[in-house]
Amino acid sequence: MDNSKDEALQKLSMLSNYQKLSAILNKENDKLDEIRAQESEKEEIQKIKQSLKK
Amino acid sequence: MEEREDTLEQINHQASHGQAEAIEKLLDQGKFKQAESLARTADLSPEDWEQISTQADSSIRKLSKEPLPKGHIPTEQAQDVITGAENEAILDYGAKNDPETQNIGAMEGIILENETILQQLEDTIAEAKSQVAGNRWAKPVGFLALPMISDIYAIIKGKKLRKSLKRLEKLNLQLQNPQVLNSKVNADKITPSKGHMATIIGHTTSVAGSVAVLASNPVTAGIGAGAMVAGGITSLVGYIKQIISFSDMGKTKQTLEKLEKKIDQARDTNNMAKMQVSMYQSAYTQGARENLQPMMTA
Repeated sequence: MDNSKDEALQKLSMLSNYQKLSAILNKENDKLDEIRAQESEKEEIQKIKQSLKK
Repeated sequence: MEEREDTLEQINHQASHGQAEAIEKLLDQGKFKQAESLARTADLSPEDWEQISTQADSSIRKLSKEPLPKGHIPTEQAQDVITGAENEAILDYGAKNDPETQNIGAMEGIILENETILQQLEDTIAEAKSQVAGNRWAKPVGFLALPMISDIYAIIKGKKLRKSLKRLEKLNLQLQNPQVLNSKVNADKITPSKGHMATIIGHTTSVAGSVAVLASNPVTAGIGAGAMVAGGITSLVGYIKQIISFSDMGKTKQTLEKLEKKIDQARDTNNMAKMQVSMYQSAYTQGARENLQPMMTA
């Protein structure tokens, strides 16, 4: 009985770890996307300001 | 009294079977964390645990790049598949956010491309050799030989391999600066209190240090030899021209053998670059794993 239980729990634990790692990476990806979007927005605003000065 | 005990046992059995079904359902929906958490508190029969293990196998199968044999997946193999899937997720993250890994991915593509070209060259030369052995080349070079010669030309004339190796060299030059993203993205902005991902990006761990060494030393050495291969391929064109002008079958055979050696050398170099890429990827994922560990246990 212990064998089948141990094996099932081990596999569930591996799958659970994979899900956790993927979730962390996805979250970090989203943060980086947001930072990039903000940076490009800032750059655009800067360009508009500069063109208005001219 | 005995009858009541039987009924209680039945109720317990139904309840635990219901839990097993719920765990399987969660697994099927990809909710692994919830499935594990429910399983850890469940009191199930051996048959139910077997069934859950089979359901977990089915999820593991979906994560595997290679098709797995039908039936039970041993725990060690399951671990290999999941580690592979995790590494892929880390490298995908790198490919999106880290120029170093983007370059490595491009190099991997070039190496595969080279493998195909080298195989094409080898096949054509083997075919030429068999034609020479069968003395099917009339003297002077006759009509029969022409389609094959044009095949050899088609592969070499394109200079695809040389172009690929040049690209490889160019990418390698970019590899020598492993901290490009650091100056562009302030990692503190990403994880203000922890900065773990920052270490992944900036390769600041000791493993990452070895990544930098890998990137700047052995890969460079590999590509240096790669440039040598490109030179070798140029001389292949010269050999082919000789083959066409030869009417001496013995000399033609010799020249084909020389060509074969050059292709073997080119393959060695390509394999060396392949090994370096794989070492880089393995060091990268190892470093990332170390950096992710505190976030995993948080």
